[in-house]
Amino acid sequence: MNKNGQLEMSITVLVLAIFFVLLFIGLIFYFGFSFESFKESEEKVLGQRYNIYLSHVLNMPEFKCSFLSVEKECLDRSKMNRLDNPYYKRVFENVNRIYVEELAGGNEKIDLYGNPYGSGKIYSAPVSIYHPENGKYTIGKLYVVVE
Amino acid sequence: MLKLHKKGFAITFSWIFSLAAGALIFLFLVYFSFQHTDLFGQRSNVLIREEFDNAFGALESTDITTRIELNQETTLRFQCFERRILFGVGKGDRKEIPGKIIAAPDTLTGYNFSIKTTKFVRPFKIATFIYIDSEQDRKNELNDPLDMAEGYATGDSDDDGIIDYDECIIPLLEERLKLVQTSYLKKIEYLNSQNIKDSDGDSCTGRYLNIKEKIRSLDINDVIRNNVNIDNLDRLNKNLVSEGCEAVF
Repeated sequence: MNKNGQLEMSITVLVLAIFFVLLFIGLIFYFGFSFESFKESEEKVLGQRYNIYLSHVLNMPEFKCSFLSVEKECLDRSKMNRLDNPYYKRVFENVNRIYVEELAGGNEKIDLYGNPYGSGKIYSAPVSIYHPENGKYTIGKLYVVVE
Repeated sequence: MLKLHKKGFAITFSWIFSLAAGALIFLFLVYFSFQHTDLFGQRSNVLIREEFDNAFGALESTDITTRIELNQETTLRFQCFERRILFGVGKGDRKEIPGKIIAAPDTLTGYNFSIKTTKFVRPFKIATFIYIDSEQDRKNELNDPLDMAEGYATGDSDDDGIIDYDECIIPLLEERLKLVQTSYLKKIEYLNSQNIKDSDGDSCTGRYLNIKEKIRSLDINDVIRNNVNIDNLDRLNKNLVSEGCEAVF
């Protein structure tokens, strides 16, 4: 091969190398954006899920008030016991802790699930707490602490 | 005799080289686009599954009938596996939806899906049944949650994969019954510890112990058959209220 041919070959290889470099830079950016978009979708779905955990706890017959088999929109203080059955581990898979804080009296914190010292992102909702011993209602806040 | 000119050889080599490089780049792009389509297909399957999972969670609080509209034809798959209901979208992985009793045919395909939820109360709320239907494959709905679940489970499907009534729905219901039973037994302990009095000023403790025994002895057969034990328990609870004691459920 003469010098001219060698030069042409080198140019072709150089062009190809530049093309591949640009292609890979493009792909890196593309996957970077895709990854961000995946993360956003994941966060959105997880956010929805954690909010649904709040409504799930509020509607569990294990905690919810009922009168003559008809449910009422409150939590029954006498039913607020710690959930320690493995079943709940499956239901609240990423939840570190669930607790209710009574906003009257001594601001008592009643742990319902998980590690009492568990920390993480907190989702909360106001709740009405029914005390069957005196028929009174107090205001409280339900907290779900997630990883 | 054929004589190859040096210049002609260089031109031919460039052509072969360009074609080979072009073919490689083309193959790479085709491979990439297939992988990309597959990845995004899997991603939308996971997102749809999560959206349904969230919808099941949000809807379980009330008796409601609603509709989920998707802008693409989607196949929902349900399976009873080791006493768990698994749910997946398309060819994606199936995942357990814990805490929810879902009655659905093994496969549902369509653009729009209707979801109906019904509370299962015997004599207290034990679970919420979730029924899913495709608008293109609607089933007849009955009034009783168990009949509806049984109707789905024994419907026109093959033997594998269906959400089996005896293998999945009944064990899940039994699991829920035990948990709710425990919750009410603890409630009775709490009420007894508070020494609640009836309208005549007498202690309700004896009556609570009576209802406690009835709750403790309640089993899945009573619940499924909705038999006299359920009626007795319901009557005892109503008597508590009429006598001025706090109701248990």
